[in-house]
Amino acid sequence: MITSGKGGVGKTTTSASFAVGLALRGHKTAVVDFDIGLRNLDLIMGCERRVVYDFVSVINEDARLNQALIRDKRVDHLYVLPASQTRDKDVLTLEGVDRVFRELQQDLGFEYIVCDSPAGIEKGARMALYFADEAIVVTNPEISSVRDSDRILGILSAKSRRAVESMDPVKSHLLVTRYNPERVELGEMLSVEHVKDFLGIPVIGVVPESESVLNASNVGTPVILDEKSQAGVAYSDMVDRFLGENRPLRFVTSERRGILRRLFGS
Amino acid sequence: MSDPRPLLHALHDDSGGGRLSVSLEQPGLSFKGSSFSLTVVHLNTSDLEQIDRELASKVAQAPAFFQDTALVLDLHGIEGQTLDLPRLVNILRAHGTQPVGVRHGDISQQTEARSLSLAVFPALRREEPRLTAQPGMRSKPKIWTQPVRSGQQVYAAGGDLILLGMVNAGSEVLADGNIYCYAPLRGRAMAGMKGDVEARIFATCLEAELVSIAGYYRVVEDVKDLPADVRSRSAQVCLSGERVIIEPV
Repeated sequence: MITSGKGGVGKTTTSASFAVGLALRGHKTAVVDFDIGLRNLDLIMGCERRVVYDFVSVINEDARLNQALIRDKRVDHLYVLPASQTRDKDVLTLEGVDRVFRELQQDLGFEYIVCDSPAGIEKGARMALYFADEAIVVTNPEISSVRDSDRILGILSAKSRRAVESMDPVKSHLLVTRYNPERVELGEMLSVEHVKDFLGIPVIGVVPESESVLNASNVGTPVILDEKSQAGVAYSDMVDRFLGENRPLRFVTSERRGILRRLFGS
Repeated sequence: MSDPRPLLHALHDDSGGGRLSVSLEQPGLSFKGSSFSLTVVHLNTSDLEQIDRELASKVAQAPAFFQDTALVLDLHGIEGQTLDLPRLVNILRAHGTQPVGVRHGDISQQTEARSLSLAVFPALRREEPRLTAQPGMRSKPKIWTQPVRSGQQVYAAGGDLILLGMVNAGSEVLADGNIYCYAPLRGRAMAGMKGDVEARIFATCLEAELVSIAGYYRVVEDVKDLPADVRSRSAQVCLSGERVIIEPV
């Protein structure tokens, strides 16, 4: 589950790139847009013109799941389940979502279901987090985003199915996006350490602020496919870490210092 | 027709000839709540000569203060005694004050006050004894191991609260007894919720937004406002009189 509480921090961008990354590594992955009424995921995935049926039509049994799933043209093993643009988020029910998830896992053999949560702590977000096994909390290095992430972590620990059914808690990871090391050094932005210290969960990645993210969104190509961009590389690292690989954090010190360090070997 | 609002006329026509002028007139009354400060005079005697003498000397000390001052007579101290209320009112008026009502007093005193057009104010609630927690009645401490996150609240009813995870900004931890926090305390912490003024808050890393003991609180607007010897360090919060003290431990 990809969540943040706050809007505009990069949940959908992260969902798209994370799902692509998992699929590129050979895992059958579905990415599901929970933002009913404000769908964006299909735009970022570049498949908005192929949307015929959606999540809501499957929940309402107007369509079968494999009619609504959109197969990605670039990456094997990757499917998108888009949100409805026209429906109200109240159509989502726990029973309906549960049924769709079971079908994805048991009948269609998906290994990973990536849920793109809407912003806020309302019904849509609660639906998205209820079934989560792991959560990636997307946070910008600024205080209101950190506070909202904290709120979401609290809800995860109280209202998710794992909490309600007293199972092991949802495993949460911190992803810091829009990170600008220069501004951190100037004291204009919170540092990764600061954010991690506040939220108390392990860091799974740091994505630097980058124009390539915006460009990628505009052309409908998840930024992870842009191997030349720092953001793309950062997302690749994050997927590897999620799958248990050891990847040191990159792009967390400013360029200038990076060069000096290399020169002096410190 | 001289009225500039014919449309309204038309609307009012079917009300059986009601006059338009009525609806356009300003309301004669408008009610607004307001609070006044009244001076309460506690009567300890019904001896009017003594009252007259004492009042004269008081007024002589501060004539401006007593001029037109509205007074409420508290009759609690002379309930059951015979009081010549009309004469008392005259004495008070003679000294330039304005008696406006009475409080307490027995039934006959209140009846007489009403007949003199004095207001009878509601009786003051007797002070309730302050609730103090009894150590013997405390339940066992509540131990909380999870972080307390923004928007969450943890309350230890009837006892102490022990926190092992961090308490983040925007959260609240409350206890009827003491609070012990063995991780950063950044939210709001309130001990002695039922009025135990002996309750304390202990923290190994104090950065709280607000601390409160038995309802007396202290807001920490900025962590930097905390004295350096307690900021982000081991500290305790306790009550000294009505002052919330934060000190190192």
